[in-house]
Amino acid sequence: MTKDQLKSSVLKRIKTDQLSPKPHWQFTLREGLMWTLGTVAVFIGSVAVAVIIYLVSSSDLDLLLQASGNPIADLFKLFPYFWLILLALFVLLARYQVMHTKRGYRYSVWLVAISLVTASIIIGAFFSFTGIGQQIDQAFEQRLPMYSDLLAPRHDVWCPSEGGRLGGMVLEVVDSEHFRLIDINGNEWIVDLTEIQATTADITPREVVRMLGELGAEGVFEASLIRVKPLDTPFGPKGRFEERMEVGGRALPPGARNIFRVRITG
Amino acid sequence: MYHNLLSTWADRKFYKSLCVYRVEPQYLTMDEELGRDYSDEQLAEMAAHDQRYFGCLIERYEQRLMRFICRLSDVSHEESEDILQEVFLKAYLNIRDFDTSLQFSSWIYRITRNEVISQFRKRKARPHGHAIDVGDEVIQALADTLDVSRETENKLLRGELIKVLDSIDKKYREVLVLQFFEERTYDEIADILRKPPGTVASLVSRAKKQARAAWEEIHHDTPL
Repeated sequence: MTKDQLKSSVLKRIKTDQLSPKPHWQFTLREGLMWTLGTVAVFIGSVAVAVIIYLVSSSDLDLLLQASGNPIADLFKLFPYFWLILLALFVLLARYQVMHTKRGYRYSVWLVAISLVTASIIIGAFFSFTGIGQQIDQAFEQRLPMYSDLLAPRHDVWCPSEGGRLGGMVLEVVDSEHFRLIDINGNEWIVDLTEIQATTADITPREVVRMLGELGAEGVFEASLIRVKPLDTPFGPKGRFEERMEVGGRALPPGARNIFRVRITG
Repeated sequence: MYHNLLSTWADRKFYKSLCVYRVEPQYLTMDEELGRDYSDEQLAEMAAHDQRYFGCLIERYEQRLMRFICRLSDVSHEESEDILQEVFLKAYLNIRDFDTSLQFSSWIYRITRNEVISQFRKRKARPHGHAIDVGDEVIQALADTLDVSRETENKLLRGELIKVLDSIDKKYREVLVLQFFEERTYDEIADILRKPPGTVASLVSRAKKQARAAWEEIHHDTPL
């Protein structure tokens, strides 16, 4: 084929097949789609960061590290694997989208990845500040039964163990030094506060508390340090606590906050 | 003087009217005449509206791309022509995707490379270069870079360098072909391969290392 033959052949085929250049909007749409998907991936990564921040800040790591036993092993249980994996996946997805934009290939893979992680952390910190992290975590806990058991086994850490830790929900305040508590496994405890070291704490029914101390007589926990969690602190998957109460034929503690209030001063 | 008229939409309309004047029969007898005053990038922009300008681009790139296809692969001349035809058709269909801030040559080289790879995927074969039809000075430049030219005659050197290029990894061969035979800069290679310029620099460096090792393997009896 000579020089002119190839040109004629191409132009002839364009004419006979009635080929015409694809419209510009198709390329603009594709480019826009890449950027949109990349942005959505960064947004989801930021939500993951917000949940990670919430999980870390609400896990009372300082209290856990003071406990006897093997708190380091429990730290691994608290590690937010699920959300970190989700963050990594969406950063990779966002990186893929950015690299496939018109000019994205010009930037180093690591530069893009680090920029996306940084963006996710900054946006995630903002989300965390607005409380989105907590809302997402609670929504997952309520709607995904597996989430609490496998993906975020943070409640197990506060089950009674040799480490002298106990966490649960206050059922009833007996007197100024004792209250009844139910743990995540549905076991009832009498908590003895005579040895308490906390400076100030208000204990009311339905509140979630985390304590360090020792196992006393059967069903009694002698607390030496107590931390009262906010009322909206999740306490096991949705329905679990209420189900146990109903199965046991027990009445739910009243929701009103100010009845049976006990003020503990160390 | 027409170049400056491309900047605004209004100017383009005026510019189009000039094109109408320019496509009078007496100017259309040779496409070289038609496209003579325009850069590749301008022709690409105009080709979206008028395929005759695309003809100018075909003329400018036909030989270069044919050589590039042959350097990247071991296809027959007829197959290269088929690949090239597909390249030009794809370029025409996607001409509005061409980013005028890039060089047109990088864009069409990228399409060509992708088409060669695609053809090889269809054939499930590994591409091998076979036609190193370049001047002695290019061969000498490559040999100097690889530091392998000592006491070797040009003819012999050419044959041995072809062997070396055939024996190294495909990704390394293509960067050497682009750098030495197609005389592309790192930035242009980055645009063709869609990789960051830093990655291209590393690829070139590793390609030279592998080519040197391949040369030494061929010449294991002859110390350099």
